[in-house]
Amino acid sequence: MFDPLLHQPIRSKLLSMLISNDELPFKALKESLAVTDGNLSSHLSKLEKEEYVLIEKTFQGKRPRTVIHITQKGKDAFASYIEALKRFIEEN
Amino acid sequence: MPSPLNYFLDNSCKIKKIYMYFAIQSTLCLKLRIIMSEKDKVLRQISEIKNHLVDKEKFFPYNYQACHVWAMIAVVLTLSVVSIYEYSIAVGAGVSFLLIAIGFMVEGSLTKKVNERYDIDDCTKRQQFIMKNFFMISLFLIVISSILATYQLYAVVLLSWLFLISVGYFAVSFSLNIKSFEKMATFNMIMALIFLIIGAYLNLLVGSDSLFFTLTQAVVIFGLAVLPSIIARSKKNEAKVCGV
Repeated sequence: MFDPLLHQPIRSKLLSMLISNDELPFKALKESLAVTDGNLSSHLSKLEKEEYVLIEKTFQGKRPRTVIHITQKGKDAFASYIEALKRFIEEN
Repeated sequence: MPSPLNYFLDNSCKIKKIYMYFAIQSTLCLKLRIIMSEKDKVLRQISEIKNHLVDKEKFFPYNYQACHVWAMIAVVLTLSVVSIYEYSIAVGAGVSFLLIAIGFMVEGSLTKKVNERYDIDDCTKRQQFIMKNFFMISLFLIVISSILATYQLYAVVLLSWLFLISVGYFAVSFSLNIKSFEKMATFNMIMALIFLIIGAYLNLLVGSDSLFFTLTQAVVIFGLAVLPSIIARSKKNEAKVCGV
């Protein structure tokens, strides 16, 4: 009934944050969601596999920097997920 | 008296019906329980999503340490306003400018520090909005304070600070969605207006040796130093609890 990829607390919060900001640094997401690097990476790779997000790795001087972008597919999936949640609440 | 077996055979249809009734009831109860727990989960999920959509200050945080710095500046300015402006209007304006500039510099470095933690290099739009807002208010206050001090309207100087800085806090509360700042700003603005009306009505706005002026100083210190510090502390504690 719900998109299994999004019907998970961390991933739904992650996409909510990206929806409001289009892109966010890995560090900002990690701090805000209070998860470990590994945990966040695993959620992100699942979302990336479905092309919901795009992970961009760049260098700022000598410092590596990872920025996460939400894709149009991710935005559409999130909108459908919210619709499904709303429908469920209305029906029950 | 019928044996239990006979009783069962005689009433087997009835018992079967009762059994069926309870079986259906318990299945319905179980289904309802599953739906309810799923509904709870969905409601929790919606609430979490809503928090992360609206509550952006969680990851673009305002450095509440800056509130303590501004509180100290407010106390120093409130207690020294008369002596510095009586010494000279230019010195008064200069000292006010200097203290406010120090406040902005400290706030800027604190913002930079908190942004680095989040891997954000530039000021976010909301941080820029807060800075610009308070910078314009401060410049306006320095000008208006110099004019008012010329007529020894020191109580009006303090009350205009209280009112206008609270307008700034109101804008910040709107931008960062901080209800406590909004309440504090509203309280301060009302207090400033009440004191202004009382002072004007009793003709106590000129000079600095009345009880009214001392009370005004106390209200300004409470509104611009004590209350923001209390809110900043509670916000910092909240952030610690959230793990942010």
